[in-house]
Amino acid sequence: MNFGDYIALGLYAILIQNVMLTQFLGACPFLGVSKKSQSAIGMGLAVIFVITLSSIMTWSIDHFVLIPQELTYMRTIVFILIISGVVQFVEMFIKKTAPIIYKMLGIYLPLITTNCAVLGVALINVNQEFPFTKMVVYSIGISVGYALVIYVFATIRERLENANIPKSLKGTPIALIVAGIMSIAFIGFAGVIEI
Amino acid sequence: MQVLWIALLLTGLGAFFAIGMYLNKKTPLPEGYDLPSLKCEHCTSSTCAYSDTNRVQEIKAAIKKDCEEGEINANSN
Amino acid sequence: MKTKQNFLKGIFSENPVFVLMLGMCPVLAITTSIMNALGMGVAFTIVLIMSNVIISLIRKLIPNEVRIPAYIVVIATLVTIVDMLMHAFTFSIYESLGIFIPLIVVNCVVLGRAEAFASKNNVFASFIDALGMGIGYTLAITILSAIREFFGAGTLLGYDVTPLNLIQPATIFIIAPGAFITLGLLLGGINALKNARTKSAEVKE
Repeated sequence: MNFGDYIALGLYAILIQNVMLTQFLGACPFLGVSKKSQSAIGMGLAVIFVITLSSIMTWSIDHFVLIPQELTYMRTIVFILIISGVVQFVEMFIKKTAPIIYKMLGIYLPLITTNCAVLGVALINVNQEFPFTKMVVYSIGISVGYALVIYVFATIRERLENANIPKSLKGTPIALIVAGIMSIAFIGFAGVIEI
Repeated sequence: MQVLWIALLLTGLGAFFAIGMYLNKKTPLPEGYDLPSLKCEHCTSSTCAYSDTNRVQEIKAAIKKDCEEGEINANSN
Repeated sequence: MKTKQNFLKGIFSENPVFVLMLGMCPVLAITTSIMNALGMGVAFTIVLIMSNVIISLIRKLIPNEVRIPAYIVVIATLVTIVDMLMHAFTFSIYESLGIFIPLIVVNCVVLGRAEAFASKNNVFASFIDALGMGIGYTLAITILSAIREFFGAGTLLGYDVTPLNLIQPATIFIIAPGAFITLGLLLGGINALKNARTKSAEVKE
């Protein structure tokens, strides 16, 4: 694969198979955290860190230990243990080296352990048997796509606070309908890039 | 043979997690940072032991008011 | 709290999908047909009941610091077992559910009930709580998928119910945006019912 193929794969992961709007992974923080755009940026950055690191680790352990020893049924348990460990290390690392970033996103780091997107991306990588570089590009693309969508969604929700919405639809129902409209917009990207 | 690998994997990853958690607990929080209880704001469960949302506080205030009224009535009788 | 109240709260007042809004990832992705929703609901209820019971049994043995990883390991083991059983016995549902069966491990409802309820109550109460939550979850996703399947494909449980092709199904309900919009409108409808009920209760007083 040459460089152009990697860019195509990255765009594919960000826009066409968007992790939230097309594959529905990571919906809990998407609806719960996106009330303020600052917390949305924090969540998005944290997710980018954690998905990239945990994808690399889970792929490596799957490739070098689970597949040769025919232990693929242990995938769920092993992957979730790796993800919990990675989250602990990422939190400690950010606390030590970048306190400013920790102030912005510290509260969400333990929450990412139960984010469906992290475990989902790890499982997609091994189910579709990506080679190493393709897996890294795909994971980074997926997490950037998630950060992008959650930030846009948060800014729209902030403006919705001042809008004239019927009483029964206030709060989560109108947010879901907005997400549905965003999803329709993203369907416009379908078929643009084929991998 | 497989059982050996499973045991090795589980203990290795458990140790990895334990080390991570230990180092995490040791490093102090950055200065001027208070851990806000944002996590429970969106949940509306009243049976959760950790929830301190507005609804639960309203219920607690109402119970307190009832108790005080009951005391006043008992004292005046 | 009493058993009946414990059981009914999972279905009505604290329904995990409509009230607590936890564990939304499978709700949006699975509800394309009633068969998928029922399969997911049953798998979810089994995992929830067994994890609540087991965690309630061992709650005194786990030190407080490591309780979350311990819960996650227990739930992951149960999910692996359920995954393999589904792979063997109900292969068509297993294929259409895809990666959402392993994702029950990180479902906020399972972990949340373990942390908030099973770690503090005895086995029977935890069992009833899990049963109520599981049934509430299954009911919620079945209703959602019935709406989506009927309007989106004109079938119910695979049987064609649109008479003589008079009504053309609207594909938007089956693809991705339909999940968001249907769930949003359903939640809006439930809110409207709640508001009407509180308003009539206020008028009565």
